[in-house]
Amino acid sequence: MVRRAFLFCAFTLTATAGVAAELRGFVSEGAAGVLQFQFCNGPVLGRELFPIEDKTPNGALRQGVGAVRQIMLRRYQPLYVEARGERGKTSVTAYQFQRALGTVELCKVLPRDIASNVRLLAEGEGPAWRLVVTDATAVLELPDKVSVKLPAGAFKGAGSDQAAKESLARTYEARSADGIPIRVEVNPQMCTDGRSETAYGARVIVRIEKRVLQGCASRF
Amino acid sequence: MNRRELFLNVAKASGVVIPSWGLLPLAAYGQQAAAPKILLYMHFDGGPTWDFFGDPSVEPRYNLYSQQGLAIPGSGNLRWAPIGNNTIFFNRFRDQILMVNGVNTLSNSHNDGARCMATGKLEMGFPALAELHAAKYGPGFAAGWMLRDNDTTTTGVYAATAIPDQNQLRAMIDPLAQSGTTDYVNRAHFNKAVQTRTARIEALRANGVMLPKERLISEQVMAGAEARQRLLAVAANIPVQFGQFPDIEVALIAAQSGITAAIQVQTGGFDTHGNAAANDGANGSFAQATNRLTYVLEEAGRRGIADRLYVVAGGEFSRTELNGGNGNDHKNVGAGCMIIGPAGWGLGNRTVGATGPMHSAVAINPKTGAVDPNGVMLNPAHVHRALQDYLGSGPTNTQLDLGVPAAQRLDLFNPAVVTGYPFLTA
Repeated sequence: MVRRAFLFCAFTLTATAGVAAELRGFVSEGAAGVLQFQFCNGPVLGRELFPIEDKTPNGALRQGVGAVRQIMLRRYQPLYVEARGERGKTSVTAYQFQRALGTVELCKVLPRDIASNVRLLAEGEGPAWRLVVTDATAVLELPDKVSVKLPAGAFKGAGSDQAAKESLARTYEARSADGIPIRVEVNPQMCTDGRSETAYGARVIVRIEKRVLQGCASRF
Repeated sequence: MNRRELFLNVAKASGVVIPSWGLLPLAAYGQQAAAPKILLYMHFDGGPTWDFFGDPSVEPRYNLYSQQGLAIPGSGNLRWAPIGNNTIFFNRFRDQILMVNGVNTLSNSHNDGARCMATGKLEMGFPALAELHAAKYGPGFAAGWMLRDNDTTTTGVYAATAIPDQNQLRAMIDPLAQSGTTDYVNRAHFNKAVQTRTARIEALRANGVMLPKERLISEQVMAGAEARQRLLAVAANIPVQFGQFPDIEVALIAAQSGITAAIQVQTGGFDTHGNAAANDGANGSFAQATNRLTYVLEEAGRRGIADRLYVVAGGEFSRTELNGGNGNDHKNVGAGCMIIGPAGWGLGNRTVGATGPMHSAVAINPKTGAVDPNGVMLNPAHVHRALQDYLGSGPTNTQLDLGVPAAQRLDLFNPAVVTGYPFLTA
């Protein structure tokens, strides 16, 4: 009985140790430039400050925080950040930087613009486009309000725990119902447009026929 | 009888009181004349979409009023966006308003853009226009530069005084006052003590029994009291009830009382990344801004300083076309500022500088204001150099020169210099 309990505990620990949790809260700079995380516990900001171990590709988290700080309105206030990583008892390890938003001021008004089942979300401007992949659907919204449905299975692995820890660029190949080939390149590195007080965790290039669309991803 | 006794006896016999403190230089407060020009700089905090104000656009991708098909209002040489209280404001103050459009603030950063618009330079270390103005027109003033905004700090040219609230104002000018309503000691008792002290000093002086050192000290006390008159004049200008915008009112009271030459305040709500519609409406950011500006001009009139008041209003940058969330983001190109002079100054009802389609940068001839591909892309340095020259507040320290070449100097205060709205097609 004891042996079975021990094995169960060992299995549980093994299974959960690698799971990247969604980190939602505010980042501030502590002594010696150490980034600190304060979790949003529902609508309330947690009091405890967790030092962040930044294991994001190319230091994307730190870069993203810095990029937003440079242009945001109240640059010395804590900055809202979404990331994936592990929450320890006294510290946080970030593997994947998703986005930082200088326009969010309180836990009770967190952005609700991304559904929880979205695994890949990339968008760009000039002209505006957007790619949204969930477990069941994948839609590429092109300029002039043209939508292209893609097979969700073509984006296998996107949004997974393993993907969260990857630092190498990934490529997804898909075909529309009309047979048009589409290639999506996701490169985990800080990405920002320099004007929206937002930084993202990946650069994205979408190639569709001869068109090349560039943008950033906040889920990938 | 020595010469001192002879002098005093002659003076006493002739009934002439010769206050030797009258021969001493009074403290600066008592000596200074009120500022001949008062500057109020209003920072539009958050980066105002300038095409929602005095540089309207008919591009539907840019703003909601174009999507709604609303006509662009105008009067005289001015045009403006059909939102908030713009029409009431511009119609009323048209002849006082000089709009500067198409200014590139050189940064998409709030802090950097705000500094650039307030000082004329993106680089740190250059004094704000209000700071220079205080140095020129308010040296030795008790509170020459009244400041309340989020970012501006002194560069050491002139010390800023944080605009006090109503309670602090009374405490600042009256050492007996603890707050707006309470005193440290009973004022009647205090006055009785002061009267007794004054009577005693006068008696001693009249009897000629004071030693020279005692006399000097007593006279300096009297001179100090005299020097406080300017500060006490503030008390006479404090109303029983403050108005809608106490920060502005406090600063204007100080200017009226002659202790302030430059004022720097702000109005906010322009950082509309998520909702450009927040600029519009009766309580939108632009309505709030024009309400505050209207209050400035009305209150200055009530306080008798409108003929000396110059207002400059501007923000850290302009904003982009509408984004996916019907908000708009930062854009350094296409910003501007508004200069309001006294009624009848003859330099209003003009626009200098312009933007092209999609609020793009346009070069102008700085001597005529006409669009000129070989001309100058305006940035805050061009505007500030013209303001410094016009207000007479330019720095004497060459290291603080804004570095605008002579050929690029903007003839902003020449009434013949007009750009208009060459790309506004409707």
